[in-house]
Amino acid sequence: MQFDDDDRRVQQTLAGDLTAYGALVDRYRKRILNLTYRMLGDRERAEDAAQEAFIRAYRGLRSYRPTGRFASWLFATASNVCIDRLRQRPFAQLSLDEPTGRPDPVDEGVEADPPAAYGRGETQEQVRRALGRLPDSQRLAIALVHLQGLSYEDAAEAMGVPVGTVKSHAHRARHALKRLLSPYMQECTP
Amino acid sequence: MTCPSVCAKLAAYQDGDLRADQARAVEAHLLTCASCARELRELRGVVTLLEGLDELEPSAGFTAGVLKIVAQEPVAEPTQPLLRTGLTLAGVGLALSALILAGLAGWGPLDLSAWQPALASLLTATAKLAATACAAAEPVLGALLEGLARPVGWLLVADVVLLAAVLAGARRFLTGRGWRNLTNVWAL
Repeated sequence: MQFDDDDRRVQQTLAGDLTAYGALVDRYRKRILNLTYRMLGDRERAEDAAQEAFIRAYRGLRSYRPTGRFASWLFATASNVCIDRLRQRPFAQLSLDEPTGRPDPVDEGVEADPPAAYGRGETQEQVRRALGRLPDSQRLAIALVHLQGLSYEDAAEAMGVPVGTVKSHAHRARHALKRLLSPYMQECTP
Repeated sequence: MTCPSVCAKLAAYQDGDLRADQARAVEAHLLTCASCARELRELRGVVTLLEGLDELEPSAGFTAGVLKIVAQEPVAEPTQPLLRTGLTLAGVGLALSALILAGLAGWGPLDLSAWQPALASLLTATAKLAATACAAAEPVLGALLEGLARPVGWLLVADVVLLAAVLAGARRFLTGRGWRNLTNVWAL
């Protein structure tokens, strides 16, 4: 089971095996990077923050209790890094009405159909901007629950708040996003 | 149910968090209210948009960059130096307790040579007990202290350990020869 394997690798790291920590970084780097990207809105900042999250986690590894919840603990560390970074500089924001100028970096070179790529990239950019207009706590709840697939319980642990508070943030965020993104929902509304 | 009250519950309904009777009431309203039904469709559309976001791939040197930095650091050093301080304080408390017990044991016109083996045995046992207890309790104390305001936590831990040591020593003293000797002294 992955959670047990995480704890085993934590113990190996604590015993001085850096390769074990490398395996943990490899396992979670994409999820942590995408969390920091959704929180900070800029690829370069996101990658830097994600690396800092892993460095902080390493420094605090002895404070992790091997309860099979390493992922939640790591997401909590990454969330704290994001909050710290946002205090220094807010989400990289553009107006929803401004043209995007360049495609979202995740779309570069991946679409075979240029018009479809533009439409899809445009929608994704609008979603990214709408996320950036949410309060940090609501964006974090959305990023953890809907983008990283954490349960409300795990998201609450990562955010250090009660489950009800996470739900409240997520519900408000979805209503706000609905208002902001209604023009882009024609094609995807069931 | 009115439209505002249904709208306020739609996100919770979407998550399956409503009680069965509340969910049934919302569903009944949705069957007759196009506006609220559209609201729910749009909320579901938001989730669809979010789930459709493409994901970034980490750069090729991501893991190497992390490992390069952490390799220069001590291996995950304990992050609770205060715990050591707390245990040291507790140890000092135990030593003080032992001294007090030794003082009590040596109090009065007693023949010290008769006390030396018992006192040495008591002090050795107390020291062993303290060392074992501190080693065994460290993880538990660590978990406890994480949940407490640290200064308060340290004081509590130091006090609890000191109290336990004093009580253990006192019990041993009262049930051993020390108490009998003292009562003999008082009886003189």
